[in-house]
Amino acid sequence: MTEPRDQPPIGEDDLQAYVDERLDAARLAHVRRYLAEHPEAAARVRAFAAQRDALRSALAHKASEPIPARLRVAHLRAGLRQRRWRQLRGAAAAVLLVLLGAGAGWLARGGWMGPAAPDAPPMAEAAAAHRVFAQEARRPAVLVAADADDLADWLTERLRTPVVVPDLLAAGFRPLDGHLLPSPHGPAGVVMYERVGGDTRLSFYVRPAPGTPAEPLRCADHPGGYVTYYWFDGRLGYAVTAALPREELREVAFAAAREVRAGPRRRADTRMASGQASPRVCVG
Amino acid sequence: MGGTPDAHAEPLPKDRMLTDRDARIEAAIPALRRFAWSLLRDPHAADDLVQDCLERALGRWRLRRRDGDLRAWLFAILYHAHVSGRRREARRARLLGEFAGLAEQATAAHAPDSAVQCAEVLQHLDSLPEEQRATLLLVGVEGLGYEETARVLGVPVGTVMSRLSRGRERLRRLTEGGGEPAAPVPLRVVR
Repeated sequence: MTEPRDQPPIGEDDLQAYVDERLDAARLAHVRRYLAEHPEAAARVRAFAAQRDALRSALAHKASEPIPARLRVAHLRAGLRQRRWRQLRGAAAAVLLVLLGAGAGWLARGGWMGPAAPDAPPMAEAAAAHRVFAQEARRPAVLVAADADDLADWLTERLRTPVVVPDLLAAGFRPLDGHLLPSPHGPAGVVMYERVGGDTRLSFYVRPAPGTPAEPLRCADHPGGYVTYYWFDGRLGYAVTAALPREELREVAFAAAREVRAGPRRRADTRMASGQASPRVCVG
Repeated sequence: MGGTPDAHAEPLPKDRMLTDRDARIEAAIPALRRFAWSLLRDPHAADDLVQDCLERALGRWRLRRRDGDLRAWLFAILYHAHVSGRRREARRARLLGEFAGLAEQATAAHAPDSAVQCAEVLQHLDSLPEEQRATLLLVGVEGLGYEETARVLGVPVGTVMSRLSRGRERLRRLTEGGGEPAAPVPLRVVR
């Protein structure tokens, strides 16, 4: 063992390191000797250790809780992949939009009037959007709202035409967040809903459809068990998508169509008048 | 997951690496949750912070220092997310506050955990400045070394030591229930 005279004088850091049991053997012996001679310092050190133990036991319960599912690494990794894929998809969609625009111009000149993709059912993109957003965690939403009217204001501004976001609370679904997507017809909006007290996701998709005549509700099945009900009102195209049985989704879709037909709700004017009707965009 | 014996002579290396990585990260999650909760004292916000931390960690896994301790690295990411998130948090609270429907969520989040109330030491801990609090927690509860703690907090080791000393002293005075002045640090030279 080292002689005391070889040791530098005791400092506050030695006392802390003593509490944390981070002293090497030689230093530890030195500090012990010091504490034996200085009861006041010894009392402080004892108090520090007791305090540390109290903290540890007060916080122990948190570390022994089971890990919530959403923090599982596999789950997080899947979420990240999805987000990256969505970004990629967004970029691809933008490119597609340009190509479609160019192609449409070229086709219009040639006088060809047929639909762009004759074999895809109408509004198939609504199911694609649902698939992407229904699996996503809540956080990277473009707009988080608790209220269908807030989302309606936001989409009205983004789509530059009055948009009604149906209040589906009576049907058991509450709005989670809204997303803006490119569509070949201009910006489209998706509002994700979540079943109250459950985790079934349902999406309401809306996009411009100026050339399409009004058409009542129709149904389309998509791979993965998703069902879409869609309709047009001569101005916009709408779709309600969820992985639900047809009969069940039909009820919700009818309710949504009724809401949309009824038009904007009362408080839209007060909000617009406030001037600060700007979207509440949550980044991150 | 984790302890499955190698049935195949040639397992997919990528899968193996991912599983191993996941297991190592997940081993740190309970401590990360505890640290986040100690800082925020709100279970939802704490888990949001941990999620944020883990997503960042997965995103920059390749930037991790090979020789460094994984736990310390994760704690550092979490702490930085916490510090940089506070500004954003204030903005978000303002934004969300405008939505009437979130009122219930807000009250639920602010309700104190029942476990907190019995722990007087946590109340005292709350009254410490944040950087002292984080230091005390990392060293005393999470068991990080002084150098690791310094790296997590982005300060020199000397700063960790003085925060530790001041924080513990303050906590001691609070616990002993007095305005008793700080005991002068005996620095007598032993000869």
